[in-house]
Amino acid sequence: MTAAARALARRVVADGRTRTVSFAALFLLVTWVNAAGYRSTYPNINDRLRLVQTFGNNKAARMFYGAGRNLTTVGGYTAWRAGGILVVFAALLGIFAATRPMRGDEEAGRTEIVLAGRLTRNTEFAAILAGTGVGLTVAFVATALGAVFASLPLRPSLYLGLVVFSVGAVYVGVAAAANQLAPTRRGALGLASAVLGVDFLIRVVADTTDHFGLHWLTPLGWAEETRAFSGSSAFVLVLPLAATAILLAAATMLHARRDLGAAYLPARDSAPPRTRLLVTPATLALRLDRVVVATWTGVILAFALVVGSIAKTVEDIDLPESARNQIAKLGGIDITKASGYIGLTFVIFVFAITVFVCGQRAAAHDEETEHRLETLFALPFGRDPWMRGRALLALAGIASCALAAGIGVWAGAVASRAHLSFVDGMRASVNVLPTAILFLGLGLALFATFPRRAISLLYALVVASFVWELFGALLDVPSWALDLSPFHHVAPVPAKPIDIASALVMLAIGAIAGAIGTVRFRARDLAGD
Amino acid sequence: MAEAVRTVALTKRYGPTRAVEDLDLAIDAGEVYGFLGPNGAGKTTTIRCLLGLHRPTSGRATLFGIDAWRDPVAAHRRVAYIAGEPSLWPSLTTAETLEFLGRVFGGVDIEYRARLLERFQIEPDKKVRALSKGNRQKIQLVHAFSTRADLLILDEPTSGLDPLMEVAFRETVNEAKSNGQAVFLSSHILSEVEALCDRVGILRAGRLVDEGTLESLRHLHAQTIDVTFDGTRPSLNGVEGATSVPLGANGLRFQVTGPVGPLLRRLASENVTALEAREPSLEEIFLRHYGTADDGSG
Repeated sequence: MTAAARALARRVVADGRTRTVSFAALFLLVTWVNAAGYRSTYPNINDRLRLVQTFGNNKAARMFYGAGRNLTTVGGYTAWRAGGILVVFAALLGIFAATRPMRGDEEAGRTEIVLAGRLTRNTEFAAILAGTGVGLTVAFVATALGAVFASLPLRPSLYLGLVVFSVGAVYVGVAAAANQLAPTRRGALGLASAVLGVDFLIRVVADTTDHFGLHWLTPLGWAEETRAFSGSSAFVLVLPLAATAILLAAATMLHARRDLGAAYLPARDSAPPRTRLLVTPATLALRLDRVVVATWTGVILAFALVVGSIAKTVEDIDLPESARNQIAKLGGIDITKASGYIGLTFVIFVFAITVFVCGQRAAAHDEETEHRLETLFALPFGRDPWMRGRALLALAGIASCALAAGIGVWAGAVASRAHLSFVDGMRASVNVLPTAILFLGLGLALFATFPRRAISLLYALVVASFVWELFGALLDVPSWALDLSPFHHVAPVPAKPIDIASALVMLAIGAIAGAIGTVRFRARDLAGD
Repeated sequence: MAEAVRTVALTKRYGPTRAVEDLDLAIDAGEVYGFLGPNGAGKTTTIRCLLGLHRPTSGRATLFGIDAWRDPVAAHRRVAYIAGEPSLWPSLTTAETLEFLGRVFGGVDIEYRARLLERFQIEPDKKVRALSKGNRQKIQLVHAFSTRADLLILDEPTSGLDPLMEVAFRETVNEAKSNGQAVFLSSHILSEVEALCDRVGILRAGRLVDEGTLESLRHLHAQTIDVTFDGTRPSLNGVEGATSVPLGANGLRFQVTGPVGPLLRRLASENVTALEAREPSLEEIFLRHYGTADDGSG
């Protein structure tokens, strides 16, 4: 590489350092907590066998993590629970890491400046990929280190890291291609995320309906077939390798043949005026974000339908008495009933909807960093109504997604003749709201207090809380520590009634944080250059 | 009636950086005020304080008597603003953007807006993301002027405009002027300020270093007098209020501050073949405030 290309690659690494470090911490912690926690929570073979009988074969668990193998060993369990979720995060890392320096910089006009120098377009493209690869490699090392720190052997630990890396690499390829197709970073993100959504959906169907042949169709399925800590089918890694190579070659070719700033998907640059919803900044935001809200609602509806329709297969499981007793200890939830299974699964919808909230706050934040708020607040329009309008829009989106989740599981359950009433579905929907509103309020307070870091902080808070809820119980920590995660207070509705006290506390904290945010935003300077 | 713009000891610091220091401005209704200064002098910071976007560290800014920080919404009902860097919604078309801005402002002069659209040669169906900076700037111009607001705050409004559009801009400012609207024009294009403004303030490192009508600024500053002599130029040192530098083979260029009488009396005894006097241009005044020559003597 030339000096200029090296400088660009370094720039990409530096720009992505916050993202790389956060993801690396996540990868390391999730792997370590699972391996170390499993060893201490399930010390002997009897405990482990019971776990396999109950949780290991549970379809809800399979939906999250895939179908596990060798779950009576620390490695097998780690590959299942940590690996199963980290491959999804690796895909997200790959998508973020590739869209930002490629389409993002191009859209912002920075690529033009770079290309005015001595770099050719192919070198520039390769340099960005090299920078992106550094970020992914850090994730690979972090995963392997997490396993090694928990005293797992080195070689299979490295292999697990490699599996995680391979999924990230495929999605760098997917995002690189999406960058050629879509004219905006947001569009490219949407395209690549849609691919990941379909990938995940196929994997879920494969693992919950025992159609494991479907694994061979998608990167997440390949990751499962690599069998880390269960005999390692290393030849499977040829598939992600080939897919990455093909996607990157296609992206390079498409990139070299197009005009800078242009894209292969047609961008309509003119349109007859439509004045609908051009009334207030809030209605404008609704108009600009309606596709995003509709997409989230649609995707959540689709997943909820899948969850609902799997519910029946849970009811058909014939568990031995001992296993039933064991499950009863989980808190009196019968996971062999549709409502029990759906109650335990619903927390993933709660999580998804809080991520939607983060996206809403990010869109509001962009209004400020891209100086459109300056344009807006120079008009006779105040900061309070802007904050209010944005919050209302997010609330409407939350309601829409929550409703889709409830209706989806109900419709899916009814279609497969499982026992779930419409009211049960609606109760599950309502149960999403307090957590989502809590994080919305926290997002408003962060926005007003730390204008630069607000969005990364909010994402970090949401992901950390969720990961803590998933894996914190494996560690020998006092219960107040587990109580720190808001997700810990989400009752498994409809198996249990809504936890009114927790809901009220979360709503109150959300409302107070939102009020603090509104007051503080009144008093601060708008972001300038 | 309250002034369109008034700042009292306006000061804005960002951490240790003093962006604006002790600024006193008063701009009457109907006045066109030129706010001059190089990049980084504090022009945009001043405007952000005037618009209530940034909070003054001390002092205050009012628009038509209304505090800009405490009650920006009330203040902005009579104000339209053009930002130096147009920040609009990329997916809206020009027509949609104007419709939205007009509605949030609370109604604009539709007829005038149609005229302006024609004058600035705007394609209403183009999306903002497909527009060059100059064309996005024109959207802001059309919106701001079509509000007929009592005060227009313009931050380098012609950056990115071509010369034809610059002419259209001047025409529009003059219309606003004859309409009785006040204009606060921040700029570093001196010819523009010279052509449009009744009064000028010069900002340097956050402080107002000079202010007045163009006439008074000129009067206060040295005029330039070029003198050509028959044969070799004489030595003319020590003339009160005048300094000279050689000009060509047999000429001298004088800079005269104050009355020119003493110089003329000295020249009367020399063989002068030509004499040309002119007032300083705004550029010369401006450069004198920033030039190295001025640093010591003030």
